[in-house]
Amino acid sequence: MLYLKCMSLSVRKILLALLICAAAACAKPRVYLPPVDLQGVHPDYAERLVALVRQYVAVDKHVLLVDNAQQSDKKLQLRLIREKHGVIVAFEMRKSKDDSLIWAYRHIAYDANYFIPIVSRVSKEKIR
Amino acid sequence: MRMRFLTTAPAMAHLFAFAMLACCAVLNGCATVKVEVDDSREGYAIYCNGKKVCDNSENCEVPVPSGDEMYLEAEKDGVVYGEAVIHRGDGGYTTQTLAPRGTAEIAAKTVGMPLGIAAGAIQPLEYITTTTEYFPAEVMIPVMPPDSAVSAYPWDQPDPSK
Repeated sequence: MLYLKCMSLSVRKILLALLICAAAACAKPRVYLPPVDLQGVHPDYAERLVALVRQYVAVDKHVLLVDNAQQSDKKLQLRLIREKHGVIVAFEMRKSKDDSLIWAYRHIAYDANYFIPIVSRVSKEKIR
Repeated sequence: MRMRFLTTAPAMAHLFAFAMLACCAVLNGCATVKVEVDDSREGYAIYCNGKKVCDNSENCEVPVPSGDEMYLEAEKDGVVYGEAVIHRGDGGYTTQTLAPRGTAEIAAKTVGMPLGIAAGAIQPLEYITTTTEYFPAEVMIPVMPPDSAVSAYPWDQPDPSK
């Protein structure tokens, strides 16, 4: 306490600024998951995909999922697009404030079991 | 004589260092892995650890990275159709399809997982381990749909595992 009193005002300001910066750096981005965009795929698979994303994100702990789009920093749009032999699992991360694209990733799935390694990889390497 | 030694010793040291660097470059830095896909039509871009290394899978030589893992992906028209993960340093050399380590970890950590998700423990990811300190010289990335995909999965029907 005495030490703090002895500090000059400018030093205390710098320390406070550093503390705020550190807290901001440690804060996890809040990510909103809009409803899955489905093209030729039954809604059951959207449920399965979202459940997996929630589980992997909770384990990897890089972001915090929020239920309200207004409170989010980013939004992660998931898409399931039917094609000839399977389904394209598409991920698009956008900034909530201006909807600008941060990254996108698309991977083929030949059956629903493919969702696991795809989501595992994306959660570990891309969802930030 | 002494003067001559003093002038030649640094030169010898430089020569030795150069030789060592050259050896390292031959054994490590210049080493490449030939990456192919099992689709004769080719035209896949190859990514290694998230970075594009070849625009086309035809004649693709990927420089060996400094780490112990190569995560290779084959992409066409913006869609990843297959990958191969090579890990060096432990296990036996194999090219059979195995569950990736990440999935085993999450299966252990996730409690109360729905049965349909737990049933997906068998993975389609190609996982290769090698006992040597070197990566294999050639890797084939499977990109073709499995035989089971020919009789199309009922994507437009309710999830049977539900």
